[in-house]
Amino acid sequence: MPSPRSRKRPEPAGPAAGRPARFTRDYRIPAQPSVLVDVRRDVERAAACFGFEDRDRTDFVFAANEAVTNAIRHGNPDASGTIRLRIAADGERLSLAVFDCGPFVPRVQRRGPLEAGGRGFELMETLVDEVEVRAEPGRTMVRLSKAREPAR
Amino acid sequence: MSDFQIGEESLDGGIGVVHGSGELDFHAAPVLEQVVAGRLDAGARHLVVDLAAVTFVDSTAIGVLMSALGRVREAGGSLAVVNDRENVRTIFEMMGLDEAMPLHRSVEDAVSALTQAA
Repeated sequence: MPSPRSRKRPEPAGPAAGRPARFTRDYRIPAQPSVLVDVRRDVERAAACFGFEDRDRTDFVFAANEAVTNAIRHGNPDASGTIRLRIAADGERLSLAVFDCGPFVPRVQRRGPLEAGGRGFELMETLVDEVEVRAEPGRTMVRLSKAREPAR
Repeated sequence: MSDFQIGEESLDGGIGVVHGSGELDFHAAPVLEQVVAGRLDAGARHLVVDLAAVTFVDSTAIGVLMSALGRVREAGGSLAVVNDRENVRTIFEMMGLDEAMPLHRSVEDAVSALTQAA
């Protein structure tokens, strides 16, 4: 299981190319805006490893960035000031889950054309196949999943 | 690390130009907001937001641009954005901004568009 800091050379994509399409990476990040650039790098690496290219890759990274941004912006880190991320591939789908310790903050009511911040959630839903929210007392998970295109 | 960096200048005709580079996300957006506000407070009527060297834009950054657009329009001016990257164009299109905020390929193109509209 590569660590977030390992440097892997890009490999041929997808199960057909003999490339592992199952992996799970769990890690914690400080709930600070300055980490977002590193999170995007990690998600991009995972998306490339999974075989997403071009538009699929940028869409997944953009959606992941929205989800992690929301958690940093509105969520509640744990006592150590961190939130947990899980990037997982199960063969057909790549997912990113963001876990924090707080109640889920419902999407911001749109107040008009200038209130772009509340549209992050809508955007995520456009960019990936599924956005799942699981809210329990003291813990919220937001998970994005995007399926691989069927082989052409 | 693609730290966001920002520069600014004034051009004739009340045009303020803000040059950004790097990744424009929730961390960087307040800096853009501050510099844009500074230009408008200093009397710029039109604004060119030069994002040619920006490789990533998120929804918080778009929010800053939309607020700037509102403020500029209230003052009777125009705003033009410069960026020629496909991933950024895609975000603008997805957020339905491509008409309100067309993307120009260069600062020169943006300035021409502003001076024609004036």
